[in-house]
Amino acid sequence: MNGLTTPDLVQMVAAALFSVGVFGVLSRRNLLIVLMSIELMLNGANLSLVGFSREMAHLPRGAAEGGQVMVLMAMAVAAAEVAIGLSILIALFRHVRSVDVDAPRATLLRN
Amino acid sequence: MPTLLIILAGLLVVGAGLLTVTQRNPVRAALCMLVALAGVGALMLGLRSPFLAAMQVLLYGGAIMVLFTFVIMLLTLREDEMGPEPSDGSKLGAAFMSLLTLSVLWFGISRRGGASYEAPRLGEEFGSAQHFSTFLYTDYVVAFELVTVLVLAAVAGVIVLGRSAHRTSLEQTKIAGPGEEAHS
Repeated sequence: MNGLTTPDLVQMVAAALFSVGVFGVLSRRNLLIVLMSIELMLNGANLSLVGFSREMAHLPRGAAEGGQVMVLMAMAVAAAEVAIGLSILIALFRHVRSVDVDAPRATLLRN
Repeated sequence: MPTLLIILAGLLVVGAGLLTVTQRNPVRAALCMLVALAGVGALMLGLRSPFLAAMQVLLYGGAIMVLFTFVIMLLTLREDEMGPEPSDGSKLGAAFMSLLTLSVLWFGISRRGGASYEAPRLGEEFGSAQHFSTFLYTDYVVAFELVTVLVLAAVAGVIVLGRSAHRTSLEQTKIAGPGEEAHS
């Protein structure tokens, strides 16, 4: 842990949260949990951006605020993505009666 | 923000995230995700971004979490509708891939030199709603408008997705309706 500063710790927490999301997306078969894992990944990226923004706060005007604006945009995109994803989930559930992404009839989305 | 607090909040966030992706029950997973999102909000507060922390709680902890719980309530999944538990092999592969991602990211973080939180310019206004919106509505107004278009498209998409399913079910009821049966 030599030379590891507080900004690095924040970035490592963000990276760990992102990796947890990757694990969820790859391992789970429940589409609800997969969507939640995607949210965790987005949160990891947001936390990383906020950390970098805090690091650049001493630079001239506008350097740090760009990262914060980007986080707000990412949050808006995430809200839209969840709304679409959950409505796709409900539409799929009406057809297949399952939220298993590997269910035999769920593959109709693939081709 | 003290290093110890960051470590504690980070452990809380990562632990709650791990519980989220391993819980079988969707309600429990959603609750664990709420804890993780709140922890990220606390970290944002410690990084001098109070406006973003408020947005994190309002948007993620409020809006998105309500959407998730509403869908869980609407579906009321039975055990067989959630699919079988993933096999040990796929879990192992997923763990390997995520650990690979983590090690690559950590390698990059450890290789960058001498990052620190300097604070000569930081006034009380940094990260506040007023300071933030000054930039949002001047330098980044185009991005802001584009996001409004995106949200509008999302609303239209949700309406289309919800309506088409509704219409097919209506057609099915019409086919099997009492009038048709009386006719045949």
